[in-house]
Order: sequence, then C-alpha cells, then structure tokens
Amino acid sequence: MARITWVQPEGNAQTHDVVSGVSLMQAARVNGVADIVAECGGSSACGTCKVIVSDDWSTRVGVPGPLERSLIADYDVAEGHFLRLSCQITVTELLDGLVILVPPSQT
Amino acid sequence: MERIAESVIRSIPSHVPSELVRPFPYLIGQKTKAQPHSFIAAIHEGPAVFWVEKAFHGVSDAWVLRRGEDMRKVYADTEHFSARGIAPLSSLIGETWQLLPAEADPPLHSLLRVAMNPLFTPKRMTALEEQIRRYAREYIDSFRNRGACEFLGEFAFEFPIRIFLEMMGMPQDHAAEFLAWEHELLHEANLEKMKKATRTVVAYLREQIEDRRANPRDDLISFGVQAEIDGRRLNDEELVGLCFNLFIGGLDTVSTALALHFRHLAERHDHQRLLRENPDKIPAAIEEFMRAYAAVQTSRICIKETSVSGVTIKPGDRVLLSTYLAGRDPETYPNPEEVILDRNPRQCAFGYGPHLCVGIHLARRELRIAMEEFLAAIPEFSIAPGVEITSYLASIIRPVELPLVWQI
Repeated sequence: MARITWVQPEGNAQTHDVVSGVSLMQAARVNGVADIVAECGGSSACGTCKVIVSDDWSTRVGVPGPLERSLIADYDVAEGHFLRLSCQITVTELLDGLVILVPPSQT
Repeated sequence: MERIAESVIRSIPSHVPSELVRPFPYLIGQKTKAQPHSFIAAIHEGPAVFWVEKAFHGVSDAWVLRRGEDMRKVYADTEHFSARGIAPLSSLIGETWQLLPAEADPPLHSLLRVAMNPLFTPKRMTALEEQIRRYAREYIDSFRNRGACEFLGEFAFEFPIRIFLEMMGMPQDHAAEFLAWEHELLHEANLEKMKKATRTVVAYLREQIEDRRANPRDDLISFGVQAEIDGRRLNDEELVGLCFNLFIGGLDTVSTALALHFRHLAERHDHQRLLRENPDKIPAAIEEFMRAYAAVQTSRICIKETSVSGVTIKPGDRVLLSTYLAGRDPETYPNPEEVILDRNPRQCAFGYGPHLCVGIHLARRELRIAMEEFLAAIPEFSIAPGVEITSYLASIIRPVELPLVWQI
C-alpha cells in the first residue's frame, strides 16, 4: 500500500491509497486522475502516460529501461525532476508519500 | 488442371462451430453507397467472435472479433498471437522480408521500437508542424477560389505523401510518382498491378538505402541504415521491410481519416460551424471522429491455443482486429452511433498494446492542421449536389471520391 498524490499542471491535487502490485498508470486511471492517457494500455509503446517526479525519488521510483527511454528522452522537464512512464512503475510501499506531477501534454 | 471439390476449398475447420460461420460486409472488393460505418451496429448484436470466409485479404478465412475488450486482449497477448504475415506483400514478388516493425514479434519487435520511437516523439513531430501547415495551405490554395474540389484527389492523397517524403529525405518532386505507386499498391484490387508496384517500390527503396550507406543524412532511411539493434546493424531484408512499413504506414491511413472526417463535416453543418467558430475544439473533435470513423483492420495469427469470449482459437487461425468495430462497441462507448464532439473517447483507431501505431503524434498533427487550415480558408462546404458517395469497405473503409462545394 502506498499513499500517492497526483498534481495537475493547474495545481489541483488528488491523493489516493494504492495497493502494491499495480502500475502507477493503472492506479491513476482507476482513481480518475485526468490526462494519464495510456493509449497502448501499459505496453511502453505510446508514451502517453508520462509523469514527472522529483529527483529525490529517483532511487525509489527507479530509472527507465531502453524501451521507455526511447519514448521520453527528448521531453523537457524542469530542473530537479525526471520523467517516467507511469505504466512502467509498480507500486510498492517504497512509494508511500510520492508526489507525481502530470505533464501539461501527453501528445 | 485438377479440379478440386469446392467443399474442400471451402472447408471450415472442425473446431469452428457452424453457427459461428457468418457473413460480413467488410470484405475486399465490397463497396457501398450507404454510410460505410452503418453496418456495424447490427454486427454488435451478434456473437462476440465469429468466422468469416475469405475475410483475410479476400484469400483466407478468419475469426472476426467485435468487442473492443477482446481485441485489446489479443493485441496485448504476444504469447498466443503473432503479428507475422499481416500484410503479405513480399510474398507477392517471391521475396521474404517482413514489414518491420508491424510484422515483428518479441524480442525483435521491442528492439525495433527502441530504435524507431525517438524519431516520432511529440517534440520531433511538433518541429514538423510548420511544414505540415505549409503543405496543407498549398493544396487548399489551389482550389479555394474555385468553390469546389475533389477532396481526395486534390488534397488528402498527396498531403501525407509530402510529409513522408520530407521525413524519408526523398525529393518532393517525387510526390506524383509515389502517389501512383501507392495507388497501384493499395487502391487497386489487381494482383498484377500490386506485384509490379511492390517490385518498383522495393527497387527504389534499395537504391535509396545504398545511397544513404554511402552518404548518410538526417532522415529516416539513414537512421535505418545506421541503427544498431541488439548490437548489430539491420540487414538488407530488414531495411527494406522497415522502409516499406514506413512507406505504407502513414499514407492511406491519414488520407482515409481526412476523407471520412471531412465527409462528416460536409454532412453536419452544425458541427462544421461549431469547429469553424471554435478551432480550439478541433483536437477533441478529431478524437471523436477517429473513434466513430475508425477505418483500419489489422490481424494476428494464433500461435498457441487459447480462447476469446469462450470461443476456442487454434494455432494457425487468423484473427481480424477491426478498429471500426471497436470504435462502435456499445460496451466501450455508450450511444456509439452518435458523434459527440466533446465525448473525449478512449482512442481505439491506433490499435493497442506493443504495436500501437508509432505515428500517433504525426497523424494527430496532420489531421488537426488539415482541419484548422481548411475550416479557416473555406466557408461552409457540402457534398456536391446530387452526388452519392461510394465507399470501399475493405481493406480500409474509405470514400472512393469526395466532391465538395462551397460559395465563393
């Protein structure tokens, strides 16, 4: 279980308790978080479930593999943050307290 | 010549229940003067999975799925389903290359996508927008003061070719030639013409590949020539397959979508007016048009026995995945027959799973920019009076011609 907060570009936030084992993408969609599009359904093929995370979470969230990187490498993120595809991050209690920024555009 | 009993040629496999053998309108060679998507609602009242004779390219039988949920399962299931042979073009000319990455399976498929994805990111496609807009304006300017155009022949067919040529580093003055090749390859159900066009395109691509080997540039073919997949370069067959896939991937699909969307606008002046007055609503409208007028059919071949909605699928069975059936599945989209401009549907037109169209960000920009420019330049347009639009029902759902008129 992990308490995850999603913050939209305009600033509004929502917090949900998420069971371990699902992907952050699935958690977002189930909880009605806007703009986590996930067109390919979690196959790391579309790059439309992007999320922005603060650098101090990088060890707990993990780094992208080559397929994921191929979709996100050129996306500009603010200093001190990095980008991941939320379908490639599995929720564990390590992520408790994670704050996710939803990017302004998935396409 | 030995005469083979018709019953042998037409035999249905023993595991296919006879009550699941059904007719299906979306077959090669079929055309209609009705709204081409109007046959879908009735299909959704029938079985979830059914068997159609000659459904696959008019050559072999196949299962047809109608539920979006079932199609998504198959798309994502690379253990039981393979993407090989979905567009058997090379065999037409006695060659063996596969369209790549469309016909590749894991592990080669992901390796190819790792290499290709960076070329089609939103950022890279945004950099093409100015060119896309310039091409759209060029075509629109050629007919705006005439008060009439044949939308496909004068705009929608050539427009995506110009962008493709740009990306492939090919000369723009090749557009007419490419158009002719595309036409023979995809628009005529004539085997000899298809063979000839395939040979011609392959020969041309081989020439281009050789040229980029000697003189690499910043274009898609050079990328293919230099790409390292799993520590090695792509061989000649793979390069041809990659280039051919890129060639056919974004041409017909975009032209068709444009024609279907603009036909809708020509017939729905209320929607046309709303979008002309509120161009910021165009992106959402395009998502809804893509759903309601999804036009593409792909397939998979079963490689390991499984079942879909309770129906046994055996190795060797071909399964058709028709995005147009998914787009009007009432289980996914309430009131699917109605076009609701701000519905914001989950998109089905680009497929699903690992093979999801690599060109989604390009396609969306081409469609949006074409609509922005056309609505800005052309006043209220309609289908030419007295014209009944004929549409192909396969292998893509597309009007044959779309004559439009407006006041000047």
